[in-house]
Amino acid sequence: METIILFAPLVGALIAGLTWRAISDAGAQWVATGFALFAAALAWVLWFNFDGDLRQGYLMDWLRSGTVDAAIALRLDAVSMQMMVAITSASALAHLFALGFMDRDKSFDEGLSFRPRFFAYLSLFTFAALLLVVSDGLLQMLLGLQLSAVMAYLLISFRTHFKNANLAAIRTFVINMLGHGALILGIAGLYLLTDSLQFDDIFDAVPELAGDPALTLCVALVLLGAMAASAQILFHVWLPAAMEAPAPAAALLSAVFAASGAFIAWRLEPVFIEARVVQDVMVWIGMATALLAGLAGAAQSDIKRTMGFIAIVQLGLIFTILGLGLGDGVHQVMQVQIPLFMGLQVLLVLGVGAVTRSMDDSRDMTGFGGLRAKLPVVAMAMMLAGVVATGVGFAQAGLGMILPGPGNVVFASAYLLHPVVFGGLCVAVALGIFALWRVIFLCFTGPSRAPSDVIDGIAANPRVMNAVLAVLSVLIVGVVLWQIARMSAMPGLAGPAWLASLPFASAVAGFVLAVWFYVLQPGLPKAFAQAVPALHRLLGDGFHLDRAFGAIFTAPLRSLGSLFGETVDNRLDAPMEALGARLEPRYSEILDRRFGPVHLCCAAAIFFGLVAVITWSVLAAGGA
Amino acid sequence: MDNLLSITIFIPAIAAAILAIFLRGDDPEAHRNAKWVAFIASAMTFVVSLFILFDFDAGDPGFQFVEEHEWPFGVTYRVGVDGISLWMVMLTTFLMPLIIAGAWAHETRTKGYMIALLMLETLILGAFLSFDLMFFFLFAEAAIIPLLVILGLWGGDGGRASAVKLILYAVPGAVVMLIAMVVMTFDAGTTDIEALKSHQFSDGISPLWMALAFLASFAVKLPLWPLHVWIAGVQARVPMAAAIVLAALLTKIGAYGILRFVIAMFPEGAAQLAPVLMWLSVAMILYGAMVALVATDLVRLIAYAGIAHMGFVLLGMSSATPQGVDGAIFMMVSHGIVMTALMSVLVALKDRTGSTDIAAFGGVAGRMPVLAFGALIFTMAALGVPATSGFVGLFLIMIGLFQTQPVMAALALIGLAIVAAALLGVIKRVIFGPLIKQSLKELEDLDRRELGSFAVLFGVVLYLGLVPGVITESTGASVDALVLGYQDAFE
Repeated sequence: METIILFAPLVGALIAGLTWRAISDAGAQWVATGFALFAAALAWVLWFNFDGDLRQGYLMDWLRSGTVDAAIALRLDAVSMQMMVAITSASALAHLFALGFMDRDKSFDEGLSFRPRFFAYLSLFTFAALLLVVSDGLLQMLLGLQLSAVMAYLLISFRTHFKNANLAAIRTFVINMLGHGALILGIAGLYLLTDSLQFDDIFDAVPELAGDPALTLCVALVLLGAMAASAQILFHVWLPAAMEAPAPAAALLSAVFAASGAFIAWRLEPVFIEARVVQDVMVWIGMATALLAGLAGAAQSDIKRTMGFIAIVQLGLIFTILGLGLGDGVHQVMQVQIPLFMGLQVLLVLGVGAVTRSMDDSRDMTGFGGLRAKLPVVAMAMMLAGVVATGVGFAQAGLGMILPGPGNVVFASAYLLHPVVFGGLCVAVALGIFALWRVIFLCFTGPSRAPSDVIDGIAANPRVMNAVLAVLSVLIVGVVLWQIARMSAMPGLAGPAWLASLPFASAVAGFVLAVWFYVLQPGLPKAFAQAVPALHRLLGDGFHLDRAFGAIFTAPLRSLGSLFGETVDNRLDAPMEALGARLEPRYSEILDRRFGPVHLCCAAAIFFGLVAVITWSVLAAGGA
Repeated sequence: MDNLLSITIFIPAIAAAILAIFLRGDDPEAHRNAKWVAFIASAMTFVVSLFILFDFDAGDPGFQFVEEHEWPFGVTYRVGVDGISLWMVMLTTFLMPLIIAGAWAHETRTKGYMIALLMLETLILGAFLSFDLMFFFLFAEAAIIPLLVILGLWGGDGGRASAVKLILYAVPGAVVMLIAMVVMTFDAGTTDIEALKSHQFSDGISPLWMALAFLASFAVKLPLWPLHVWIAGVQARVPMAAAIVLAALLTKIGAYGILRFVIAMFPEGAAQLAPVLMWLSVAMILYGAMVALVATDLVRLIAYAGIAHMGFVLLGMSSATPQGVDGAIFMMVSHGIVMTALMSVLVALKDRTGSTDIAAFGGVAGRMPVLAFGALIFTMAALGVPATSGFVGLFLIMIGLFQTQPVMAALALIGLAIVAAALLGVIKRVIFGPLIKQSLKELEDLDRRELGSFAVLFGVVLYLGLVPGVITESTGASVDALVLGYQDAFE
């Protein structure tokens, strides 16, 4: 059944992408959506019947050279099962949402068939993401990851005539490619150390390599790959930009694609745990990422970019948890965190998509306001997401704290081992929650700040969009309740009570701050921006990192390229150029007057041949 | 068949002779006939070469299908194929019909052009299949001649100066290599490559100097930085089909020569040169990538991206590991196919607009979605995305390289990311973006002939990406034998 789940989106994509002329635009959309729903339904069935035992299924041989042997196979365990359910569900809902969302797109001419392509991309992306999570070896993991990156590129640049979309797509792909480069090296290194590319062999072999500097280097390289994919600090600039993609795609990219780095670190946890240094660094990286994204996210005016930063805050938290390296405890927590992160992120981005669609594709949320009456379902869903995020302390950070169970161990240890990190995380949670409620308040409460004709022109969104948001809300609440029930049944080591409630308190503080800034004293944000304009600009521009990268990398590379391509090449070529120009008349004379082309060819060959034959035969005879 | 290899080599030459002797006239029909003859001959060559592929014994590291004929003056004609040359031959025979089909729009002096292309095919195949020093030299060096003629007659204004410059680049290297070959022949008393490989050269012959002498010729063809300068200029001047042969096939003679002569014959010399060669390869990758990043012309972009890729090939070869060399051979095949594919995208654009200037395009996808799709897929293959042919070679090279030179491996991959920025940046400017230019609004998408070529190339790129075993399993034995000697030299 897992094979069917894996390939259903691919089949849907191929049918939608290749036969849309025959089955019509709408037909192609429904086929892709149908296959996505089918995969999701099967995944749920499989999950309910899953007994927790590892299952491996061989699909095909792939790369074999010498002792390198990588097959494409399916690995079904608790980790991949959960990812599979989360991805297929997110994808099915994104497909359904897109049925309504894409029914008009002002950036394409009327009558142009762009929808089948979009649905095919969405389905292909789903296939790539599934290929990643069910991988049984490093190389297949890389395959899934890189194919996801290609699909991310195509989805982000979907509105191909938008310059920003294209730039964002290139940025996403190139940053991820740098990460893939590190990952390739890490994989090569792990292969050289363990003589295998399959997880089982590697997991068996690494305990003996614990502390080996070579292993540490390999894990560090893999970590770089995971950081790029999951938009960790310095690599993170791609994610806010990637939100240029149409909302259903942006939802999948920020929730599923961005989680792939975290998944890699999670999947390779037995390897990571043998390289303590790397894990310690990872804890700090996660905290720094969350803090930076929280600060930047709280000051954005672009609603979609804000969602990008909110995703990064959560990914930073996930990285910290993964870096704690506490074995089963981490597993327990991640099994809740990642699906919940995906669910929340998809809901938030789709909700934001519904808002911007109503607001004439404007994304400046300082110009929104009072939309609750016009978009009641969207408002309800987003607020519910806000409550869940705050209530469970932004899922990642809070769940472990307010619940008994292994999650508590994780955070107690985090506190004991890394008190500064823990403090940073609490601040990041407060900022992230603040940014989230800021979006909700700016969009839905207070008086409208948009021109009246825009407000009057808001039509009800297609019903399917509202239905998707409603289903997602129910799903998320269900998951939270189910997890609370599940985890309270587990024995847990409770830390000190005040420690356990600190992240939750931070989340509430973020909420209260947002209420104060955007409900009680709506004049405050402006006053704040005016009081510290430099700081406001710094945060709003994401610490000027985009520009810094441009100045540090892009500009020098281009200058060097010009220098090499023009000055250096010309210098190198100059002597030959001069000599060539001098001899050219002679050559022309030969070519034009004495011979036709065929003659020249034959003559030259014969001449060359004769010279060589004679030289040779004489020499060969002499030598022998 | 006993003469399978000779038949493969000489079918194109015979077709060229037929064209030269029997085809008369300068009307459209004569032009078409010339193209058909060339296409059929190259397609036949491909079919014949398939017999070599199917009967090839992957477990045998030595030369197979050997033909040896004593010629007058003590010269022996020796051809044979092993796991290393097999795929160079298949690459050549597979690509030539596609390249000729891609030149269908060519209308000036078509007969001569087709003769030149067919001669190129024979000479390239001859170089890959000879295992005799003299014949290798003849074929490999004479392969420049049709190119010179093409430059002179179809190269436009600067073509002839370019041709002369090419001679100036190529001949000194060839002469140095010839001297080395003469020395070898004197010492060993034979020109048989197989025999020379096991020959113990006298102490006076320094392996380092011999390796350098061979490198003098191959470095120009590869082209190794800083001898790369000629290639972009030549590619920009010759008609597209010749540019494709140059980028996809002629550069492979350089790489193949380094493997066959420098590394296999003088492993001690190659081992001494390896650090230099590897740093030069890294330079090639970074240099090519950065120049590609600011290219304003599509041909130049692909030429420099191609130089960067050949850097990977050289890195793999020099790594002295079986995976590295396997990967280099795989990458040579993939590079040939992907270069042809990318240049075919260019041909389609140039045939329609007459331009390869990046600024002349924009929003082409709106009118040519199939071409846009092809351009994207082939770009991804060039960037080594898994499931395309580009990945396998890259990954194997990295495994090989990481064992000894992790820093170089990292630099090379950073270079590849720069190539990605260059290629995707150009896709943004040429294929995507708004369709504003009036001249592009009437573009027609690929016709059936072009679609056929694209489909075949797409299929092969995907097939090799998913079933790379077809290549790696048949190169294995020969590569292992070669690497063994090379690794000993390092110790």
